Amino acid sequence: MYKVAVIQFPGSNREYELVHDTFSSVGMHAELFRWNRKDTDTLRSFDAYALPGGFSYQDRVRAGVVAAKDKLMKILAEEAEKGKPILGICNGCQILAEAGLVPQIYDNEVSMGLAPNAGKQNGQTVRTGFISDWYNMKSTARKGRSFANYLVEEGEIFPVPIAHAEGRFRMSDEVLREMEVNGQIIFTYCDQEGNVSEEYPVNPNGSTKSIAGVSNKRGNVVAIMPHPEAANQLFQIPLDISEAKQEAWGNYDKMEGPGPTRRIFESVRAYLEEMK
Amino acid sequence: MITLYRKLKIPDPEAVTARNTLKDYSLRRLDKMEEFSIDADDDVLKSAVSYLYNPNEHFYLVNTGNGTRGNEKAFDVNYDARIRVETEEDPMTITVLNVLRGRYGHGSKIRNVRRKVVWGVVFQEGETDIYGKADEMARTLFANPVFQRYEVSV
Repeated sequence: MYKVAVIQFPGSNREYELVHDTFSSVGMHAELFRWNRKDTDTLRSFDAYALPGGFSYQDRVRAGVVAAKDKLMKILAEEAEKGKPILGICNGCQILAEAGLVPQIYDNEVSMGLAPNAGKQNGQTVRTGFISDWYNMKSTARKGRSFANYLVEEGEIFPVPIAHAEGRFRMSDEVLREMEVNGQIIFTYCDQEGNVSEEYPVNPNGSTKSIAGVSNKRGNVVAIMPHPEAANQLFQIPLDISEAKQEAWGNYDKMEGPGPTRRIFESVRAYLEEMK
Repeated sequence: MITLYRKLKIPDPEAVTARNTLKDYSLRRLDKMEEFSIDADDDVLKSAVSYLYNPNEHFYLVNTGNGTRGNEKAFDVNYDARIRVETEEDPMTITVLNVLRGRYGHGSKIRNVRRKVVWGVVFQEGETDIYGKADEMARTLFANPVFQRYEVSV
């Protein structure tokens, strides 16, 4: 059974969902790996890694930057070199960006940032601060471009919750161009029909090109600001946005069944099987 | 135009964490403060300043160009280097502007507000290349090169 290390820093959040529900739902075994363990080399024995959401080190200085300097991140960088998958969600996404593991256009140099939210309409900032709500994202890369969309068709739409104050993807025009050419923009915010707009509220935080998730060049490190682990089971989805849940209402087994983002976690497993 | 400096009266937890993160540098002291530059008509400056600090929480210092007032002793530190970091579209600046113009009713009398986070650094004695070290600290920790600008003064 594939083993996933879920890295816990002080201030991590939703790590227990990843450990107890998310990865086990696709037949993988996940373990919590605390940042202060002495046997850090044990980390190398895992097949895959997940950096959960939350507020590592209370977001001090800048979200994700303190955790990005942790010695565990050096090990993750080395394991990523071997092709092992690393998934960063929300704060994990910020950590990967601050560690330079995404987008990795210039080796591990920091060339992307998750800036404070600034949702825009007609060029004016209309929304700042913490946003916690359900939005839609769609796969904008070809199927199999990264481990996170290994089984996901281009254009597939996922309702997902976001919960962050610093989630606005920013990079230079040059880095953006490289990412577009390489197909590293994996997920993009969209409306329910899949239409992408850079305007608030479709693009809730003002991200460049409405980016919601990116990968490194190789496709084995993926950083996503929305929370796919919170849409992995049907019961997690708000009733008013899911016809599937409305149909399943009152049926325990169906309610415990797969949510829309299950495909992303099934993709992790499929990628590992292919790597074997 | 006035400049307001504020810092916590208690030890700043961000400065403590930053110092721990920068443990490879020979730091004797690392302080964090905020610098607000307020461009406004004279008759609303007092109101703007009072909004930006809480006397129970902060030490503050106001520089009007003709002198200073406030908790001068708390800011009387001889730093080897200061690293000033400004964030693009800083949500706090946007909020402060909106509150002063809208809720406080000062409207166009508030022309602009800018905020920088200032890190005051004192190195251990004998440290050489203070500018280079401070610049490296800024690049390593204090400023993301994509959406934050920084300047180092020694």
